[in-house]
Amino acid sequence: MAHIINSSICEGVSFSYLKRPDLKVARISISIFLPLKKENASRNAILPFLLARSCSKYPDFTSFNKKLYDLYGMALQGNVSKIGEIQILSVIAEFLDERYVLGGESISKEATELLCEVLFRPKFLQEDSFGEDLDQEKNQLIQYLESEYNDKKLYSERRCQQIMCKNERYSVHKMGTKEDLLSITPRDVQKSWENSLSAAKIRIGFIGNSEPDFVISVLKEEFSKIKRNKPTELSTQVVKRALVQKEVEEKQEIKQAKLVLGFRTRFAMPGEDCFNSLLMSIILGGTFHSKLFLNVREKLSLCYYCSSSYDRNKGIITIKSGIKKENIGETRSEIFKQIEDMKSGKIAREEIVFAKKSVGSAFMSIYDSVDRLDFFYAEQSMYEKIYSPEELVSKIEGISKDEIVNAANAITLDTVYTLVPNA
Amino acid sequence: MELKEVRNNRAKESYFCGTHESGLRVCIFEKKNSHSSFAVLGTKFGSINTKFRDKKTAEIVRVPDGIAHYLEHKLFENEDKDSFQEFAKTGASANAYTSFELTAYLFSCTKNFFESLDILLNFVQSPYFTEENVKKERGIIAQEIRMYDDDPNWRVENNMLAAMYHNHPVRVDIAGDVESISRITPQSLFLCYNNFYNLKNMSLCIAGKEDKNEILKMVNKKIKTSSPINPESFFPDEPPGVLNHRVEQKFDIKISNFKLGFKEKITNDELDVEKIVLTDFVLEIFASKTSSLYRELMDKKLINDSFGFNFVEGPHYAHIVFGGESNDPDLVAQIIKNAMVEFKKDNSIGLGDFERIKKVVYAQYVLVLDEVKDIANLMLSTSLFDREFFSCIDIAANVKIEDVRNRLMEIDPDNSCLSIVSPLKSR
Repeated sequence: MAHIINSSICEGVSFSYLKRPDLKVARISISIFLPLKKENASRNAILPFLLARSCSKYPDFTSFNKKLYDLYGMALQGNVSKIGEIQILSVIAEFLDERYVLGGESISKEATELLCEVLFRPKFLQEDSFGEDLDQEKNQLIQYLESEYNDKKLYSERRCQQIMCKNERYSVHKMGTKEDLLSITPRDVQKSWENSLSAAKIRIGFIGNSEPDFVISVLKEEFSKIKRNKPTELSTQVVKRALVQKEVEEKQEIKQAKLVLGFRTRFAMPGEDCFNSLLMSIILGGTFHSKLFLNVREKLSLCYYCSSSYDRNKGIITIKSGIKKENIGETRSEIFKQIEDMKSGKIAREEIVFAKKSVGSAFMSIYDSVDRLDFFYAEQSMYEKIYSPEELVSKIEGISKDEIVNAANAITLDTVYTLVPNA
Repeated sequence: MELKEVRNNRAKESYFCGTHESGLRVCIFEKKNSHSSFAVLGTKFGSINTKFRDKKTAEIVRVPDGIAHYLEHKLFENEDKDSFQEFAKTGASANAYTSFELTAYLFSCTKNFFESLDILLNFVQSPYFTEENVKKERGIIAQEIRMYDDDPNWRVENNMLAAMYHNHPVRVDIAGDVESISRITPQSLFLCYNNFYNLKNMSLCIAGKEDKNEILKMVNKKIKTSSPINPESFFPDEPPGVLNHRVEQKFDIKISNFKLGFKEKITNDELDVEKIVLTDFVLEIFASKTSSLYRELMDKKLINDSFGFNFVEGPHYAHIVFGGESNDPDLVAQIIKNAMVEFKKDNSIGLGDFERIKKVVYAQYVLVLDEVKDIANLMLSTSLFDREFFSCIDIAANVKIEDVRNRLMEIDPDNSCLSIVSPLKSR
């Protein structure tokens, strides 16, 4: 398997290339890393979406999309994500590799150039009529926030984390708030863009069959025109233990109750102990053979889903389930019983072996999905040590039962959140 | 059994397919550079197959709604073991799904492929339904149904189908409801199993790094021979018009979601692939981000990025759907319908648009071939319904503009149904 090749475009701008002759798609992604802060989350978040909808060369939405369609439906997407207390703005281009075109066109050169137009010559630098575009994207992002409320599973999990981390930057939504989105001015967008290109850590990823030389030279040329400052420091606060236990119940017109438990684990990236917490969380509730699945669902028939997930960038575990309102107490007791078993070392050798195999398979299969592979490396690029999937598998393989039990004993319950039907 | 190679020169790929003497269809797509492999074993038995002729008694029987999905849940349990536990030993990630017209059992793995394939072939061929284990599942599935009841994106789709179709069972939720699943018994599960889990009615599709000859060896060893039968399902007569033009449900949500469906003319024959490809062309030209319709809806702030469209078809049903989030779904529907009338009137598909869309539709079909999961699942649905997996690629490359124009004329803008889920309080 070809390995990822890293190089530098300029101060604070890295370039990663992975040659993949087996793929029919090529992908170039730009990730901009910024500290997640309440005061500028919204005005940063809107940036990638504005960039991906037009550029000075193709200022009109329809003609811009026709250009993308001419390039065999090249996908150009803005995105924003939250990793720990870091906000990542990304612009991603995906296009068909040239070996598969119908008429011998050279897509990758044009796609790269278009991506540069979008990034470095956005429409908002010169257009006076940019207000309409800004309104459109504000509207889109506000509706995105509202649609999260529509999804009760996601909403209840977000609420729990928000209550749990109320006084930490982690509680800031990756898109900020509706009010902050509404107040964004064209000048805010320009400032956010200038700051992103000059002072943020940037990672550019390229996965595909073509050689990267052209992409690298074009990017070097573009960045040479920008005065780069030392990139802004990035960090995430890790609260090691829950000091006060919070309990919040909310009501909605729904049919099924949601129970979400938030725990502090003490460990987070880049510390290596976080892999123990990861494996512990998988044994507890990460698979169809986990303790929570086998007991809460299969043995007691209380739910359709009951699972745990570990955010290793923030060091928290979230356990969630959808149940009948009258079964909240029983479900909660059973979840705690399973956690107690983990803490007291009631973990069969097989459970550990199975969980290790399951994580190993999940990490190795990252290679087979271009977007997961790209994100896997992009996410890690804010840390000094970057692991390959193979290295993570071997880390997980080496974990002992004692380390799992210690990780279980380090968790403390911070927040219990329930969303219950009105009636 | 012998495998024959099917090659596509545009995608520069091949796969191998053949039929085992039991009737089981086998498709293998070798992807030597892949880290993972994906296997799926499926049967042509979905939520719509609730009325059929029992091969044993020759009588026509009606089984409870949601039974295909219930059977899917229960098949993982064998007499002495749970199949998820078995997969745990190999490290594979296993799952299953039930759609309107098929049920599929699958796993993906990066190691121990043949051990996992052994488990898959074993458990799907070893039903074990008892009063006790069938009863135990009821609480789990009831919570699954409740979860979907609270999901507006799911409801908006099912409400549309229930409003669009008078009689066809596609109007019923795949999982059934709490009442219908209470009538499911071990006997009714066996009745379905014995009729539809016949190998003649099934396909095994594999994509990944494994060698085809090794796979064949295992299939030959593990497949139980049985006398092939062709299950006979019955579908009620379906009037051509929609049942209701509009349906709305209130939810505790902040933004409305809609599905606007156009019911298509239903024939008893299965659709050919060409019609599906042509529909993709029409929809892309009519409603993609390059269209004047999209521009109008966007400029009026009526839609957001969630806006999309697709063509849905299966045994005795077919419809086109537009959907997404909107603060005024009624106005969106009106604009789409008017635009469709105008679009048909001029039949204004230009050569430039056509050539552009051709590249896009073609690329979409080729790009599916990057991920083993997508390949195996698509091979399953095509092989079960006697379609050729690669055919859409060449059809897209060779489509004629006249055929797209003719396909457009078949769409009836008046035969539509709008389903809305909207916030409880008006904002």
